[in-house]
Amino acid sequence: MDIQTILVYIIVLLAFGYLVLKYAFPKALAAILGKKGSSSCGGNDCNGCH
Amino acid sequence: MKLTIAHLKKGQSAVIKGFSTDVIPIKLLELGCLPGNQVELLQIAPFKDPLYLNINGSFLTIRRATALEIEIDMIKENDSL
Amino acid sequence: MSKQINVALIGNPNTGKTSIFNALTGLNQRVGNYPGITVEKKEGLCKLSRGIKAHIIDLPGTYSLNATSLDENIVIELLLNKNDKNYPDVAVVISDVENLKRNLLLFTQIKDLKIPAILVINMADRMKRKGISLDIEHLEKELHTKIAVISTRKNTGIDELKELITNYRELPTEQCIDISTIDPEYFGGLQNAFPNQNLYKLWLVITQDVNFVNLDRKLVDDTSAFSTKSESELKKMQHQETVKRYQFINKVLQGGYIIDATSAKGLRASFDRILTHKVWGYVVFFLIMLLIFQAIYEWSSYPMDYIDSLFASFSEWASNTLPPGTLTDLIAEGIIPGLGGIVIFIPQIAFLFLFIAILEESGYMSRVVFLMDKIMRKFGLSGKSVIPLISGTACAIPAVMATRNIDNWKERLITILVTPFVTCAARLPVYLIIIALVIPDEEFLGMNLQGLTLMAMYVLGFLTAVFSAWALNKVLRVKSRSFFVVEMPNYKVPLLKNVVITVVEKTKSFVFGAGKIILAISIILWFLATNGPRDTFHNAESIVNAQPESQTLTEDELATNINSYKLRNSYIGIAGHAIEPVITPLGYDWKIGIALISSFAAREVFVGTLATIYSVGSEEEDTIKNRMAQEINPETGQPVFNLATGISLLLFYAFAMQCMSTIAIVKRETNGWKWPIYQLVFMTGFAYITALIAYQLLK
Repeated sequence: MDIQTILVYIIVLLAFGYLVLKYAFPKALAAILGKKGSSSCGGNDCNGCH
Repeated sequence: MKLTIAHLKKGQSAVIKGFSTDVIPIKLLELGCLPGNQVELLQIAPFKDPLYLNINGSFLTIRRATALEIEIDMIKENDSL
Repeated sequence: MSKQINVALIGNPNTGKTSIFNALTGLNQRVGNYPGITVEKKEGLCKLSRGIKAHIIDLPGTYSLNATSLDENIVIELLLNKNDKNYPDVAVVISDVENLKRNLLLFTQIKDLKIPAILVINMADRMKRKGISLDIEHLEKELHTKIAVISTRKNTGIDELKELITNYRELPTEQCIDISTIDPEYFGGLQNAFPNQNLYKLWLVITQDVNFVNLDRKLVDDTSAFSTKSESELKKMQHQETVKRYQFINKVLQGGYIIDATSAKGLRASFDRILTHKVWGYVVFFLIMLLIFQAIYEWSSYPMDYIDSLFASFSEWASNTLPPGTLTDLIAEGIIPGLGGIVIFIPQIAFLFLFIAILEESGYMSRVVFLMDKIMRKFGLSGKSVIPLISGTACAIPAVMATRNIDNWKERLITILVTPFVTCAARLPVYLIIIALVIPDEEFLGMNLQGLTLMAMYVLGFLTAVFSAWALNKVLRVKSRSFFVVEMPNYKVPLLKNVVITVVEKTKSFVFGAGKIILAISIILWFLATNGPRDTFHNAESIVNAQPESQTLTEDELATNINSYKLRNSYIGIAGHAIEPVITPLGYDWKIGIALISSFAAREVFVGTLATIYSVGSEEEDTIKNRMAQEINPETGQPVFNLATGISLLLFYAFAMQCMSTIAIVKRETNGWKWPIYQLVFMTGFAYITALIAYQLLK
């Protein structure tokens, strides 16, 4: 496998991981991104994170 | 028959006398709807409800059902001068 | 001294609290939530003189400390809890010079809690026009406070306010009212039982139906002995308290607040005559809505076309310049079109929020409530439902939360259930691109036909919401009683700064909130479209080459055939074909089916999904719109996006519940899964049936 293919796999995994965390474990995502749990889904500050 | 805010015509003024029920919302009082204060009916919405009032300098809208609970004394034209 | 001062901004709604908050903090602010509940919490930092900083909290607007809503509970919970880290060192009470009398009610309550309080008299620029004159010295003396007279419009008085905040220790803490005079016996007993407590605070703890989570539990329990008075007796005492406060205020204002009525009479009456008129009021409302949709459609089409072609050429540049390989393909076919699918909607979203901000700021929204209340009530809604329904055009989430000021639970529940029918900003991109494809760009009665179609979609969403409300009102058996009091604020020219901050904040949160999801989905879709499980995918080239008809094709045609053969045998192609039987009756092919599925995460993903799928399938880079227009149905030879499919798609997106976040917020606001699940099943089923009927009739 060349370097480009490896990078592609990493990016795709990151994207997938992000979506899983976002919808299944929003609190864990907030912790990873270092936010104070305020921007989880359904918050009043959320104006379009559909 | 008791006169209430709901009996006012557009542009008429009156003085609030009291309430015919105990459950008048406190919010209404806080906005200035208190006995002795003057109330003016500014506008009636289409289909006769709700009512747009000037109570003691506060501009409010209430429904006819609430207005029927607020008793008034009419101001006679001569007295107001 | 580098101490940070905690400052709480408190005031009635419509007193310009937000303008003062913006003036103090500028863009140095943060919007978050109070823990556990979804009430907006706005905080900001303000630099004062001598290196002192003020941490400013903008509390929800309230008419008094007698809370009647979740938002108002926040205010009294904070003010009664000295251990809260945000407990204010000083309260800044904002009042509007025209409504000073009413605004002072809240001020006297805060003074009675012995919190150092500064009184801000805002909108001073209107004094002259309204014939108002103030004796500040007299007012300061009678109210035991310091006063800052401010005009955020003229930008005066802010420095004086900062100076007063800096010196907050010098503020007197005398009370305004002695609450015990209402019922000396009762309050005497109360004070004896709690000699160390502030009497007014005790009174609030007893009378408020607030869940004091953070407050000293013991105090709440102990005072419960004093709730023995019947509820109506307590209510009567609250009434007396209000009367007393007004007596005090009237006395204070007699000497310091003079209105020369002859020079008063402002714009209100003349504006109201038209805007609340039984005919003109509706005409104006309709024209304003029409203007908004024409503007969103017409004005934003220029930057959108530009952005669309910009990203297309950027894609082309990337695939030509970067070293060939799968990563380059990902960038050119997945990431760049994905990013384009986010950026392209910025113009519309900015316009939409611009108009909503202007309608709210100008005071027009309350007139709409007044005009619509009786009509809405016929459908089981309240005039106040108009605000959620209108802000639903931005996003259902804040709209569902905006239902909180509807006091009647049944009216509120119905509003929550029907709000997702309103055309939200996420549907806009889908509508726009489909309308551009299937509706001719012609003039009709002097209006752009495409703009009219868009308007029709909004009207459709609104009507569906209203009629399902009517049906729910007949079906639902929920008992509740309520009252309805709406303030009619003065008309104001919206402050540019407030509008700009709203637009910037909302647009930013769209780009960084929804944008991340759209991008992630684009990347995954690209991967699924460029990889396949079976030999048929990996050996696509040789299989297609071996087909007898391939011998007569040119090289270009052959390449296209190979690409589409690959796509059909990719993961995504297999999944798409699997659902084809369900969506074929609606006129969709499997590619649209994939877009439909990914739309359940977020509607606006639709366009980006199609862009990714089509760009994998084609050789050269092109704009999203052109690609969609070029899609040909292999069976009929007609474009995929014809009128029947287009209308069917528009209807499906208009009615289906395709938003995970809305489901989450409805669950939260209705305390359970029951209502959101009804919503999901009913809305999506309804969408399927109408789309089916439309396609079968039109094809």
